[in-house]
Amino acid sequence: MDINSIRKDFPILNRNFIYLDSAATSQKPRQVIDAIRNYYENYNANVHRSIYSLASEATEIYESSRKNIADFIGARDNEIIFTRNTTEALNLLSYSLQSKLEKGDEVLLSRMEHHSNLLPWLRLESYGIKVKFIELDSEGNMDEEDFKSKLTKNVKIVSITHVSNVLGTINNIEFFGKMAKENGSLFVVDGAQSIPHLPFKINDYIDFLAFSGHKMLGPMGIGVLYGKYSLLEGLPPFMQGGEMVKSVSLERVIYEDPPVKFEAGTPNVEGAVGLSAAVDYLKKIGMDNIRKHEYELGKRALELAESNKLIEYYGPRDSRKRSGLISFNLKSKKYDRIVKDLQSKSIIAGKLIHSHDVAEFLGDKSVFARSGYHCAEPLFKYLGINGSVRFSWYLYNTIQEIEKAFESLGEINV
Amino acid sequence: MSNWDFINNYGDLRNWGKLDSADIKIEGAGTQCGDVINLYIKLENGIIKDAKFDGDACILSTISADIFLSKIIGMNIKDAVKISENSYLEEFPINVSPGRIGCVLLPLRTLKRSEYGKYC
Repeated sequence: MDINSIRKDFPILNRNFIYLDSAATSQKPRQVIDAIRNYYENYNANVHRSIYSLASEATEIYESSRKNIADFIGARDNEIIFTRNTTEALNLLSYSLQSKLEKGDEVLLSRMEHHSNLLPWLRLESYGIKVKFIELDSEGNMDEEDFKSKLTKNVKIVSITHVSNVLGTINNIEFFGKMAKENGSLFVVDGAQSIPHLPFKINDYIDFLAFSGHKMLGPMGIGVLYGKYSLLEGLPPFMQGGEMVKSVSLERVIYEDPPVKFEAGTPNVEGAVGLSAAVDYLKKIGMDNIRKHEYELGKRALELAESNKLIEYYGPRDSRKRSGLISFNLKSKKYDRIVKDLQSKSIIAGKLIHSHDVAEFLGDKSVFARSGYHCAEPLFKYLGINGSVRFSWYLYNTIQEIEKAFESLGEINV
Repeated sequence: MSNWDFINNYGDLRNWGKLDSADIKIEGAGTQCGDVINLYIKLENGIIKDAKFDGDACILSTISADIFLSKIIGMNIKDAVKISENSYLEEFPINVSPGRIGCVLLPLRTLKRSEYGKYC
């Protein structure tokens, strides 16, 4: 993997900064930007409906993008629903599956879920559905024994994240998925942080999978819900309107077949085209190579975190169990003085420097990192910390950038 | 001066601590971040004679509380609550990003929430 040539593909990296927030959104290669431009300059028309040739070409491009993205995860094209993002994909699922649930049914999530895989399920509580949570062990792995004990017959849906956006944990979805299947539960995977980073193919135990295009080199505003075709056929649509119907009279509506049944209104064609180009780019580099590169960066990040006594980091201690990010907090250098005299006029009132302050310092040094709760506030309450700083990397980041970022942390003198 | 230099070099806090005899004791909390700042204000004939703060907050809120209290000591409380957010931000020694304006304004907003806020 030639990192220098990869970096040349990302125009924004010409600006002089270290971008370590790819878990929030990735940067885009020229190939993706060009694909979107090419679509608008040569093929733009509304899809699926009009008869003229340009519209057919646009439809062909939209549907071939769907096919390409399906191939990327080892699915069939009629199992790929385009959404805006992971959040919309999981909302779609929650609303559509609601019709299949009864009072007293249960949904099993984990303690490490992003709000996207939490709030759509919590809303079901007002309909008498109970939501339960798999506990975590001290290193931030899902507790398999706790999972087994909570996987009762009432659990109709198990929905967990493949990779934690805070802890970096790579969860053993094969274990959880197979157990869920044996129990007769539907198994849903939040792939927002895994599909961009890990080699992945759909397996029989996965019923639904959600992910976002913008975290995997694609544009914003395009995401995917994969669903097993047989299940999609039996679900009602989430939204109603244009495109998603075969026939409408005031007495009777016949919906389109999946996936179009779930794509009401004019779709985000440029988004699909851009995501397809992103998938081409990722395939060209190779997901195995990307994982290997990110693993090397992760190993170095963990070494640097371990060697800095002021850093308290979260998640597994073993790099093999982690994806491409590290969350941490920085302890104050003046902390010793504070505990000696709590009334002293000290600048820091707490043991850890607030993550926003650390991110502010880093930003001044052109190191761009995320801080705060990372849309997983209950996880932080569970961990008993008030947010964290997060470095997250991707195929375009270098070891030198990781080292520079940790070096910058050392220059904080508070 | 960069934000980095400003924060790294801000000296000891002048107004950190508690005032047991305070006439105004009020807790302010950041909406997004879980930060907490307590203001203690001692009044004499409506004039702020002394003011202290403590809590558990980010550096920016903490420094801002220190600067804010130094500014209002000696002022009439009714004038202090009238300080506008814009003028306070303009006076603040550094420009902060939009995401952190709430940190800088936390002490001012907290005071405005006190019983004297009605004079805003």
